[in-house]
Amino acid sequence: MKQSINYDTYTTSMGAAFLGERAVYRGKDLHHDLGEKSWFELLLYGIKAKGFTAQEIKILNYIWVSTSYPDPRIWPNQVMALAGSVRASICLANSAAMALTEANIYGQTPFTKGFDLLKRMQFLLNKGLDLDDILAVEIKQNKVLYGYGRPISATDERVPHFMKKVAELGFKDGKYYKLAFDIGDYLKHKKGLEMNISALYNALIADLGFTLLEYQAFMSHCFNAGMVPCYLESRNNAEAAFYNLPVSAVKCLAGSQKKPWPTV
Amino acid sequence: MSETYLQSFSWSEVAEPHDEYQTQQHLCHGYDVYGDMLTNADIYDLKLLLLLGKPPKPEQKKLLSLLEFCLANFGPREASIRAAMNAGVGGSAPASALMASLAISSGNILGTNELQYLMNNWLEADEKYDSWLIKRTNQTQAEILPDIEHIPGFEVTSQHTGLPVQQALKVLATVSCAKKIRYLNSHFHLLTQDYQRGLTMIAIAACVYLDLGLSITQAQYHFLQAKLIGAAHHANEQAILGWKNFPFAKTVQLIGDPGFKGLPDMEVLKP
Repeated sequence: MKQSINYDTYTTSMGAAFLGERAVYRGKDLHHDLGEKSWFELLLYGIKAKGFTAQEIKILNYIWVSTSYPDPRIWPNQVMALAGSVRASICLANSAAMALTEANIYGQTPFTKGFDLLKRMQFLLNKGLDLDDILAVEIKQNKVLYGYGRPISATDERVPHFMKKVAELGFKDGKYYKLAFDIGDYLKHKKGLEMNISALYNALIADLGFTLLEYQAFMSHCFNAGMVPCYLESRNNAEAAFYNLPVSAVKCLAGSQKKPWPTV
Repeated sequence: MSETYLQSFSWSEVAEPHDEYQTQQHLCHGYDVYGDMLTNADIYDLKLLLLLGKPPKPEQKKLLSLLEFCLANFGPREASIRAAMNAGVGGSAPASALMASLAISSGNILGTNELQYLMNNWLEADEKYDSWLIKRTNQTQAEILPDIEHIPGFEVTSQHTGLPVQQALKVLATVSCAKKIRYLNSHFHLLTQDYQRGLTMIAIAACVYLDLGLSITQAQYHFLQAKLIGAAHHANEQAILGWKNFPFAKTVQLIGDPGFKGLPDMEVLKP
């Protein structure tokens, strides 16, 4: 059966461009009502449709600042450096590097699963269960507890800096923030694992009332400021200069024994 | 001689004696790609050599090429192709059109997440009908993507299996190594009846990948690139058709409209 679709109009509550006249952004006039906001505040308003206090803006902003490392060895940054090196465009490189951050061992998976972990743990604690018992079941069921342990370095230098900011700005008594440390104590004692920064980002954002999807939307940009300089540098360097590899730089694990193609 | 920087299971290159950056030979699992293979093999030999690590059998090549034919162009109504058309119409670079298409092909409808779900479900599917019924797994934690809302491998709304899907099944089922496809060809109408939804092309893709013995990740990579042909074609076509021939709803029904608040007077603001 053919559905009835009106191709001439679209219904939305998000906003609209009335070209030559105005633009509306989630119920507000973009130019009149939101023109004084920073882009960062506008993005947050776009995600949550609410304003944030100055302290909240500062801590959310610090999440992005504290995870922007312009080190061209870091995988998404290396995509930027390669793009600059071969003279691909910065916009395509940026989109590709952003896409990489939906990774399993860093970025969006630890944010997603770690945030969900805190939500599920708190739900069970609210039902009167004991944290040690909950965590024992969790480890058995899901093996990895995202937010704890770090692949390359055992200590995450971002943690003490973030804790200082959180304390200064008055967020350290948050329910999820405290829970992140309680889980950290358990895992340090049982498994010798250190907390990494994602556990604290996850907790802080949960304390600010974000849903998982809102959190993902916010964090999709969190590495971006570290990416851009990596492109600029390699773009300014000689063409193809970013680790231009000689043939011998690639090792074939299967050996290099030549075989004839089987012809029928 | 430099130190090793990268490793590969499959690929080795032989350098020119006097130029470390120039190659004499590229070997794939030991076979000379531009020498022996270019003369005696074809692209499906190379694709399957990369995927399986050994020269494929003729029926494996046939199966993969038929699947690629089926996935090549879903037409301009399909979401990943429409995404690419949005790039084409504005004059965005071909790479942006394909990146847009790939992003949309990663999801739960005709996307790699649906493909993964199906391959996991049908890995053990055999001659017993019940083994083909989609088992919903209880997630123990959140994933980046949400749960699939429709029955994976089946239409979101349509209750019928489209003729192209039936035609594809029929032809693919003639290939000797297409064991799962053959079962699906003879039983899809029962599944369609049980679920009250038509079978879709991604269900066929999942079975072909399982029949070829590909891993889920290999299958996802193949599926993504196979769909790009249509994305590229329609993005380019839309660029030629131009923006006047691309839909843009004339009006918008805005919920929560604050209304027009006027514009600053440019005359008094001029330098």
